[in-house]
Amino acid sequence: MESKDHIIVVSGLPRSGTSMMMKMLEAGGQPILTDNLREPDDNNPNGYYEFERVKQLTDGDFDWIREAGGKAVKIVTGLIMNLPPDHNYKVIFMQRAMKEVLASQKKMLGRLGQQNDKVEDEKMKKIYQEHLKQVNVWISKQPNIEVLYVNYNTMLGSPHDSLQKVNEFLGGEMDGNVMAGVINQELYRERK
Amino acid sequence: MNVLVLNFSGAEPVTLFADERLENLRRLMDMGCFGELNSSGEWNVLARQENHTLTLMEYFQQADKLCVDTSDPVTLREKLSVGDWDYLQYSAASFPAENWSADDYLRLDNDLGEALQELDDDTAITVLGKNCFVLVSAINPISGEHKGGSTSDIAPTLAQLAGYPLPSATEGKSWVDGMELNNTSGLTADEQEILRDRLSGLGYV
Amino acid sequence: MKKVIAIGLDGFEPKIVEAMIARGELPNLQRLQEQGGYSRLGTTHSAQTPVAWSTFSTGTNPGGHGIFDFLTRDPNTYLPVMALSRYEQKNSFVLPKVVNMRRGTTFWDLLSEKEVQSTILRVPCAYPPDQVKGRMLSGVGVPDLRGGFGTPTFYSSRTDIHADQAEKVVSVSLNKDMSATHVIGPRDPKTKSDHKFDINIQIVRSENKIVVTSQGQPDRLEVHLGKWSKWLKVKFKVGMMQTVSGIVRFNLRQLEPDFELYASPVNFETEEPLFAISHPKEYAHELAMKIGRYYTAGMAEDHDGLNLNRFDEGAYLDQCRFVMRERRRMMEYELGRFESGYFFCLFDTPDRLAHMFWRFREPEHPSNKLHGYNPEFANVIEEHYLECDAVVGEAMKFADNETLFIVLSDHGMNSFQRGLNLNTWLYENGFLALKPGSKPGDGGDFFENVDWDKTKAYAMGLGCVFLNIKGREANGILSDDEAEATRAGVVSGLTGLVDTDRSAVAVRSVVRREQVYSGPFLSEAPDLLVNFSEGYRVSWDTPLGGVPQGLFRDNHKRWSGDHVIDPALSTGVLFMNQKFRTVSPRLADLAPTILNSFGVPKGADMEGSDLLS
Repeated sequence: MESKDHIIVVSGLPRSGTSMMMKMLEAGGQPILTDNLREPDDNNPNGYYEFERVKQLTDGDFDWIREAGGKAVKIVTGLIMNLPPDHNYKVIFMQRAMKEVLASQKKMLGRLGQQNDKVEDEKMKKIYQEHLKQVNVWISKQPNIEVLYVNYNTMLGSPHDSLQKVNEFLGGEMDGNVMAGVINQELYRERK
Repeated sequence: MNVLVLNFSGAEPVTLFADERLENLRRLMDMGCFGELNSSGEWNVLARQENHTLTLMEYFQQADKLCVDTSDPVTLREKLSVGDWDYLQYSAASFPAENWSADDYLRLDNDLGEALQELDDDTAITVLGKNCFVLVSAINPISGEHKGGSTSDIAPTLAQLAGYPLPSATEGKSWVDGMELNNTSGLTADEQEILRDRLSGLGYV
Repeated sequence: MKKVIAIGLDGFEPKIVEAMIARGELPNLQRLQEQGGYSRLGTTHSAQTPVAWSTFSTGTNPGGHGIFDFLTRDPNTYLPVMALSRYEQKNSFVLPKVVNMRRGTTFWDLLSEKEVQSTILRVPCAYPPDQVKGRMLSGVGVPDLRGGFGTPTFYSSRTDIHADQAEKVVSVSLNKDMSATHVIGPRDPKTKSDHKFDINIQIVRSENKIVVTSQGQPDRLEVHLGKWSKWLKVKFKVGMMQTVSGIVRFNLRQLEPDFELYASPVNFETEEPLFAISHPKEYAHELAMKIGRYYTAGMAEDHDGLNLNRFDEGAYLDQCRFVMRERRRMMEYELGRFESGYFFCLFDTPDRLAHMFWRFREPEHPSNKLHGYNPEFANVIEEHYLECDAVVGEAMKFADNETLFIVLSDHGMNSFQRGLNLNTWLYENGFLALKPGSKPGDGGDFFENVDWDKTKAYAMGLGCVFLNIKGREANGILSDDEAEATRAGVVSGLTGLVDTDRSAVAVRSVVRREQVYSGPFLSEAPDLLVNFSEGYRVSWDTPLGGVPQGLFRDNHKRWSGDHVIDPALSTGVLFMNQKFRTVSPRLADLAPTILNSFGVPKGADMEGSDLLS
């Protein structure tokens, strides 16, 4: 099947719903690439679905990509532009209202005991917007990348529509109902 | 990139572009491009595919952008200030369809001035009049008077400015197709550091 | 009371006033004194126009209104910034908005709440104008078209003239007595270049004049030798679609041997000002239609032009007369239709004139060594006070027996003969460090060469000392305990500082901000304030953060009088047509006094008390 050749990338800003999307893909039967090195915590009770080696992309560690064909991997926007051009990617790009992203990040930084959240939301918002623009422009110029934008807020409201699109994008072989079951409304508590 | 389209279909270009009292509109004209349009097609139609007409809003919806379609009497400013939106199209229903008075133009400019207060820099603004337009976006490489455009060019131009590829069977022609978009300044070194700090603080890089 | 009429005379000095009244030279003020009373009026720390009038407006000490000096510093950069107003821009699609940094509640806010009308002309630190019930024309704080306190332009056929301070110099080349040149307008934020308005100059030597032709209004303007021209309305194209208008006037200094022409800072034009300068917005223009074009900039008198010798004393006096005359016309027009409520008009000229002419009262003033002493000008200030007295007489005609009539000044005026290089003192006493290899006098303004990692205290503005506190300043080094030690060190070191050249005490005292300020904006105040003796002030190099050589310097500028000394020595005047408490009244007492005369209770933050009760 077609998606065997592609590497499926779930991307977005931290706290835009990337882990949830990974969990859903997993539930729907999509093989995923994760090392479970980052343990579940209050911030992501279902786990992070991260693959630690992704963080080495900036250092040119691409070896794992050969093994990643047909699998889904989570790569935040801060790293995605380091993807080597000699593979094909299907990117599921998570979008979420910026206010919520920032609120959720703040909460998480607080829980992690990080003191570096001094940057005002207004300033952080501008920086993220500029960053997202760069990433989007970059993605739109890559012939080897197909992209599907998924809005976290819309997805929580009408999960079936969103998941159907995801399913179609990936070849239509996943179990939509199981995926929808994952959407854990509890997570939305973070919203403020 | 957010996209805002303000539709004042009764506003004539002869007044819109010449009245010096329309301060807000003139500021936008200076920042971006403007001109008259050949009337062909509808501004909001992006593509006519087999048996489907794809509007700009539908296209953005497919990309899962938060889209809002609104008109008077809710004031524009209220609409913009509540909630998030990625794409908002507004038609000024309380304005006459034809034969605008001088007061109508001033009201347009006033409403526009209030609306501008609520925007982020990262917004493409389009003001549409009767077969004419003003378009401002930080990444728009075209400035000054833009001649020879058509109504149907608006949607593809906005799609590309918003960072999306053009679908097949696009009806009009994007003015910025193939052009290097002014990708603004990007992030300054300081801002890059803030971004890195934030991402590493969250444990993502 | 039905009416309160208050006339402000900026910098009106009690010692001169008292002597003149004793000689019977100020009949109207004398009449006021006899009718009601007279007293010296306590001013603010520090004794400066924006600080003092803000206390008048709000009835609080500066800790309650947030204006401590013309300048403040940005703790992130250590750079001086304008303290009176700020520009905020929400996004790139909208114009920046001006925000008044004078905070607190004014007494006219409280009057407005009770539906009492106010007409307020040129009160400082009300820019953008307060949304008062009635009318307001903004004063000190309104910039010129370039955004500063005033950028004049000097045109010269010489090529060796260089711009000094805020001015611009344009070199003109004359061809058959004609020259094509331009008026300099606002700076373009994108290109960083100046917008220009083309003018043509034609010299008519036989008539000692020039003719300026342009697309402005009027299209042909005559400027006579040694005289001020009428206003020229100019328009700058600041974009393809946008223009900004302003008004400018010229002074033709000389035609031979070199051509020298002065152009005033470009003032906002009232019909389409860049930012609103009045409330309601149209009011400024309504006034212009009645009394003619007038200076709109907060600093109307071009003292810089005289200070830099771009025109002479005579021309400056002429200009002061213009400003005085137009202000009188404003006052008379408004009093003519004033029926009830609060009326205020400020005359800035007594202050601006005395700053520049003080040296002629003191033949020994160091400034005279450089610029010459001319006894003709010895009595200019007194002569001007006669005119001020006449203005008061004019206004008194509009007072009836249901009117509280007030004349006041915000501070006095003194001699300024010697300046202290405050940063150099801090350096010599180990509070301010310079980078290795540099010494005082090596660097310029803006704390060039200052080693912030070793600096404990620094001075800027007119006698403000800030400490370099950890967590507050960008490179702050002082912990709380160290800050306390530094404070104590500066206070004890500077207090009683003697100018050894003159064997005179230059610094009377140094106060901590907590001693003189309280309120919500205390944290914005300078940490220490230096109180100078008469004849002294901070040097010219201090306000913008210079560290020059030597401690004391003679003041060689034409700006030869000043008032930013120990506030106890710099009181203003207060006259009222009712008997009032003359035991140490102060500026903060005026707000409760005025409110009470309308039966309106004073605001919760107001510190003074009703002088009439």
